[in-house]
Amino acid sequence: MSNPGSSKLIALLIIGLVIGAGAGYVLGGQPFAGWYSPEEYQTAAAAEIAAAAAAAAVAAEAARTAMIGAGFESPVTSSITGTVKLGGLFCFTGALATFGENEFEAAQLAVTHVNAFLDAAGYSWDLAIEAEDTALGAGGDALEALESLYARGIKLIIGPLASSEVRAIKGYCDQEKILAISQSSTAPDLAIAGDYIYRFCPSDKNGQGPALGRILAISGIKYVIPVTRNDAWGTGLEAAVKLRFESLGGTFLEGILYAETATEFSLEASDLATKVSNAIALYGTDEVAVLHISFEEVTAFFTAAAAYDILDDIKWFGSDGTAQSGAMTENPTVAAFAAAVDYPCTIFAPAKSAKFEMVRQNGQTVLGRDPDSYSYSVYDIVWCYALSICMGDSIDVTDVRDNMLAPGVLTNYFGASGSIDLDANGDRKAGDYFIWEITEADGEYSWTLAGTWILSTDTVMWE
Amino acid sequence: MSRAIVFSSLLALISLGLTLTYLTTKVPNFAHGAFVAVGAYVTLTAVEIWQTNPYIFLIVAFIVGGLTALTQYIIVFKPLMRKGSTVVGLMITTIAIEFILLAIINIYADYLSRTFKIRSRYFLLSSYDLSIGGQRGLLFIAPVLTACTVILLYLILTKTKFGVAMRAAIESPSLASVVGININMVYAVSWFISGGLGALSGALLPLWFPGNPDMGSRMIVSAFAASIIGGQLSIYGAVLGGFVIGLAELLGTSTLASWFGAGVIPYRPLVPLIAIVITLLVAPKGLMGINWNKLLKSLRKRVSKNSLQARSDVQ
Repeated sequence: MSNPGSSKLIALLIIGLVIGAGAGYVLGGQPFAGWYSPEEYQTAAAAEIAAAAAAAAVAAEAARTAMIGAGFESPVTSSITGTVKLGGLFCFTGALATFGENEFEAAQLAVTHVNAFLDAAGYSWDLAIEAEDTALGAGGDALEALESLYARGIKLIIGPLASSEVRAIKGYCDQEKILAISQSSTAPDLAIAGDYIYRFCPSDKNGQGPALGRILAISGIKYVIPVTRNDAWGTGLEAAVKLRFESLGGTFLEGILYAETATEFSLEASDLATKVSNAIALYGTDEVAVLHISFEEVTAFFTAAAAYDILDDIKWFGSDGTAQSGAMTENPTVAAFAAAVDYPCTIFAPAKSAKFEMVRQNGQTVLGRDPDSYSYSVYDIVWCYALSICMGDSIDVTDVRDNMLAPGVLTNYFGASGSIDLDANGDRKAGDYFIWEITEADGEYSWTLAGTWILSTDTVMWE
Repeated sequence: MSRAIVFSSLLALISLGLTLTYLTTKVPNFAHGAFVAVGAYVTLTAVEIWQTNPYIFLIVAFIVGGLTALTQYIIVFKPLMRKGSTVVGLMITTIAIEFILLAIINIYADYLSRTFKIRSRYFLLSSYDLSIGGQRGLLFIAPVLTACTVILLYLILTKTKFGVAMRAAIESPSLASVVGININMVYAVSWFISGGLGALSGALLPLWFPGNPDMGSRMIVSAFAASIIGGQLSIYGAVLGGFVIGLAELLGTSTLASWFGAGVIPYRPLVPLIAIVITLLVAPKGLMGINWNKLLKSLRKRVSKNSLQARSDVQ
């Protein structure tokens, strides 16, 4: 005998699914009635974009056309058909969510451009990205996400962002011969030759570590108290900075190592206040600084730190984990504290070009903000994969890798992040680093380029 | 100290809601953390989209959280309980619901980010807080709100017909139904209140701590610890437990850090876990389950016995 109760339940579930699907379709991109429309929010951004485009004197469409080509006289022949899928390991939720969003949009832009190029050239295949959320620090698992992609036959991977995630997938990639190119993993201990992990960003050992060490020394700092995120990236960067700074005569004092899953920092701030107070008593305010190696949990840390007057008596230094972080400028308390302590943050400096500007404008259009430096590397990763596939007419991982490395695609490729020259470990060779600081003007806080550390001269060019 | 007070007050509200569902349906609700996140996103929406003060939207957060919990009860729990599902089965169901709610909240966060270009993860709304006497408003509002909630619940449970019916249903559902009390209605309302309290706390949390879809899930262990320490069958115990755990986590860890160094700070999450173990071993019914009169009498007896012994030794 049928149970009327369960029939009702099933009916309710089906109705709910239909309503939900319909609502999702209709509302997709639409605000609820009575709220401010997205256009009202985007109008100001659109005006800024238009002004920026005019100021840069770059027509995005012209740049796109110049890059993808106007067409070929005779179409190329290729044995590949259908859709070639790249796997994307992005951090959409978690401690790098802003970066994940930025970089995914850059990847999508690259796919659009690649497909336009493939179509114009007469290729019978196109490119698509299947993205998985690694949810760094929010219960996610990069390895699990990778396994999910591999189960679908995807062996060419973009990402992951964080060094801890790269470390988690490295063994699996080497075992299953999955090629993963990370745009922003910089931990020195992952600089390993002959593996299936490549990084389109310099290792901190050769790049950011020496840069920060020099910047600290140039700023007159002699004693540093490190506050470090306890993961592969954080500890590696601290060690690299310490090596350089101490070689220049500086001293690292006892610091704080906080758990990568921490989201509340009242205890750490209190302990730091004590350490800073002791250091100032011994050495004075001008020679003591805090080196803060963190991701976007910096907002919570600065909110806690702002409660201690002594903490803004000295200078703080940051890194690429927080450089250009929108989360900081959006919060007045955090921004004010950052501005008070200067907080110069280093980040890899992509070479500026028309392609750079195109990716930057796309970030503004889609997300309302400039993308971080590593978004430009993501754009190039997609293009390098596509061009390597074209070159070898093969999606086999070994073929793609061999065609990409010198004297292959990378030899002549100049992308949104500039030229990509890899070292023996498959990591991008070191380059210059931007130094960004938060400044205040007319009550508004924004990131301002304060200077550039020049690799070739080991000096800083201040703006 | 101020952060400890705020954290404890908001934790007390969360554990109060958790205890309420356990009292009625005898099921520990692992999805309770999702109600906290629901409240946080109501505040984010109000503040960023409607540009209003977050305190004005507390009632909306309460209602949205309440409706979410009520939906969970009506669609999932009621049918399962009617079919005679065991407590373990229901408990596992709450874990599944937690995953579903977390996914829905993440979808909403993506929607906010893409459509309105606002930060919908790791957001901190501290700049929207009021200022009272040069201090942040939440420092005063959180404990006052918790106190008012407890008083209101006390009045409802003792002075209203419905409250008396609820207490009867909690004591003995079968007897209560015999005398004509609508048990389902009582359970439904208690779930609504439970979800509302979780969302109320979640609505205020981003004013002090970062908001994220999983923020409630991160606090669920502390909420369970507070509920167990206070006494799982006492809503007043839940509030007491909230303050005990909140203060222990922040002040206790801070004290340990001052003695043993900053290296103990990452072990802060151990505090509620250790508290649960100690409570279950020493006082399984929690602080409110202890017969304090009997304990004090036995302590007095022991003290007077020891002093008598000491006097006789001297003589």
